[in-house]
Amino acid sequence: MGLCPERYIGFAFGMGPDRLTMLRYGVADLRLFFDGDLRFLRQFQ
Amino acid sequence: MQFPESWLREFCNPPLSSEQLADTLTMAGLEVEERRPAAPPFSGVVVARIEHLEPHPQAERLRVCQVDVGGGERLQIVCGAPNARAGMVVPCARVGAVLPPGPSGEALHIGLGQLRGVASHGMLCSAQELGIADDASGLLELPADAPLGQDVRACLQLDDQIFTLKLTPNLAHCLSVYGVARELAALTGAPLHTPALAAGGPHAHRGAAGASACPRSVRALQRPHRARHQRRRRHPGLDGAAAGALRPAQRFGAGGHLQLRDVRVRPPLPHFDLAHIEGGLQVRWGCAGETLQLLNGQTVTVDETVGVIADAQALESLAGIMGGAATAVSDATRDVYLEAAFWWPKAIAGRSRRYHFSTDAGHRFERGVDPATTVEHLERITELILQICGGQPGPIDDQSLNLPQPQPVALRVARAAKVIGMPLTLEQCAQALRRLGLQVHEGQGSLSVTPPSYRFDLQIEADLIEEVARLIGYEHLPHTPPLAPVTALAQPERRRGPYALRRQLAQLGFQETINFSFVQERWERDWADNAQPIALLNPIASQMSVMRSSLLGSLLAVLKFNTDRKAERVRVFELGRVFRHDAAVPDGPTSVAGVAQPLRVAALAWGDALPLQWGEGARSVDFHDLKGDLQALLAPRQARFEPAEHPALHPGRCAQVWLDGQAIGYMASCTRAGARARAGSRPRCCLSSSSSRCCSASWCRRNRCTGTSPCSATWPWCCPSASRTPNCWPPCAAPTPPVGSPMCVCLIFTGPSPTGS
Repeated sequence: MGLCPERYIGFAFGMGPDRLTMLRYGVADLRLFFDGDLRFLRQFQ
Repeated sequence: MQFPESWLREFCNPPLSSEQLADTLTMAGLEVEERRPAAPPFSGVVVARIEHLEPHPQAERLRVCQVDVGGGERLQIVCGAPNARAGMVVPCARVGAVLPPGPSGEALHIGLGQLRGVASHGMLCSAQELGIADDASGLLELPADAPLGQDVRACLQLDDQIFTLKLTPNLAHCLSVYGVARELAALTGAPLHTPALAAGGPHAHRGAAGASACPRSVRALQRPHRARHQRRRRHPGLDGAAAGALRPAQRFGAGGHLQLRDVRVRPPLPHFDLAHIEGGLQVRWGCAGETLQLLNGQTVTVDETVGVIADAQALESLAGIMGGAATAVSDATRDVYLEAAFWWPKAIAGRSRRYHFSTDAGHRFERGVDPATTVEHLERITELILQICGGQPGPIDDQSLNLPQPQPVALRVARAAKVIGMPLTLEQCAQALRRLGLQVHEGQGSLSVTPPSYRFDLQIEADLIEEVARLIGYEHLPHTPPLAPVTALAQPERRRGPYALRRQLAQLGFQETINFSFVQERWERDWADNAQPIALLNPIASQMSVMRSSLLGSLLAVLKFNTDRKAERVRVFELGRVFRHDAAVPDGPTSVAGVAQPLRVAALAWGDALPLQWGEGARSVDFHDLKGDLQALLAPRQARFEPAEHPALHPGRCAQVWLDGQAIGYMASCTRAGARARAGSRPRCCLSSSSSRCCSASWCRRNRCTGTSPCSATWPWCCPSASRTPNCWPPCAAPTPPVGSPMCVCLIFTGPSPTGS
């Protein structure tokens, strides 16, 4: 990245918004979000 | 890494409870994954000796035993085990005992019973019934000198806790119980007990002839050794400990294995049957094509990058990983050749993965072992073998070549304080490092540490900082909420972000879908006319092997998914990235050279134009419905629609959308494949456009219609060959769809690659 390690110290981590959505709405299978089934997607309006 | 708590406490016994001990280890980075008792809870089982056996009068397989349970008491117990014999010491569950739950899930209560007419005052137990191991083939044999009447839990130390540690790769120095004890002593301050080793056999130093993979190897000859019937030396609670007597060869292996888990012995010690070795053993790199049959039955072929141990005739073992089947120790073995070696981690790393198996030995050598203690380890296992099996040790042959030299590492206190995030003094750092047993030289605001041979993971300043943080304790880190200036990033009002676009499309009645960026190659050829898609090196599945350059394929797949499930009306859109080769793209912090990754928006409508309602009759969605939606999306700017061709769209039913003199996408009714009645008889509309053009819709600017009136941009449905030239629009009435034929209306937008979003 071209940054000097002496000056810059940082953290790296990641979060998946779909995982958080699973937790919030109690969805059991991550693939449901990517299937494109309108009966599922319509429930999130 | 599993070990019983009692072994750990032999070396370091801090005044902590079992749970606090686990907590201390976890907070220091040695995560205790599991802590379970050596055996599930049971009660009322004592040590007993079978005094007398006689066959059961009514049953063939049963025998009536007279069992001495200590205190002069004798019980009559009926037993069906095949290995019961007079004089055998076994666990006896007395009346009132509660055994661990069996497969039915219920605890077993032992009561006074009658088996085939003979009273039985208890039950003699196998290892499986006590929950120790899976061996139900016979009674669990206890050591002959176990005190009769003693609770079996005390006799076998079953109340011990078994710890399972999950160690990260940098903590390779903790892959032995002694290593963990060392850490524990540093963390708690409790004294560390180093076991004393007996002096071993004579040393004979010969000239060096080893390979660069193995800087140090020490061998000992044991000869001759007699196998004797030995009692179990392993802790009964460990997985895999076989109940009952072990065969001598297994005991030998068990002795070696015991060593692996015990004490400071981290280098696993392979042993060879001397009788099967021709000439001396030599450590070298393999030659291409040589094969070796391993202890696990696999036959492997080695090449020059794999280290081997070989004798004059053939390969004997894969260096540092697994021994060969030919020289395995068996019941017939008389002389044993032991080897303890230090291998360079780089010489071992990755080799066993190549052959698709992994071993404990390989795991340890890949991470590195302590080169300074190989001789001591050899002495220790020699001692154990002599104790268990007898015999005489032969001379030790110690060859040290290219040993790693530990380099001193400097630590700046100010830097440590900055990285860890708490104020530190020189004394604190020095004290923390000294507790680990490191030699510390204090300087001016910095320390210099020469790591001992067992801490080969300390190589740079960050390693020392990590040790200081670990020992001070992560729970002592101060809470420092991050402070950052928060200034609103004002977006120019003339720009609409992607979320505004999404909301608008949703309000127009479309449902957003999110699809994978990886698609089938066929889609790229058919829908995007892209013969050179960006291919993935490691696709998840063969249908997801290239990156999409058009959103159309994904949307059509969503349509098919829903129509397969009897959806009546599908209106979907997606706003996502597409990927194309583009030599003009430079390398940069947010771009990859040669790959353009623009954001596109695409929509598709299929089915009725309106949901079922009473205001209008049901009619299929058509081109103009979607054109209206697109115009609403682009409002207040006005787009121009001109006929065009697109590889995926039916010719004559496809238009290109122009905004301010730039083509931003395509719009069409019906794909080429759709015209061939692929998807049934309902109309279908798709639209896809470059999202940047939509984003820069200006609210305040008034647009002027340019050129010919865009509102009259219709074209004849029935003449696919007409209207190839722009601006040639005979105004005509709204077409009536041909009755009975599949009418699909698709709108697709694809735009030029914009810069940025």
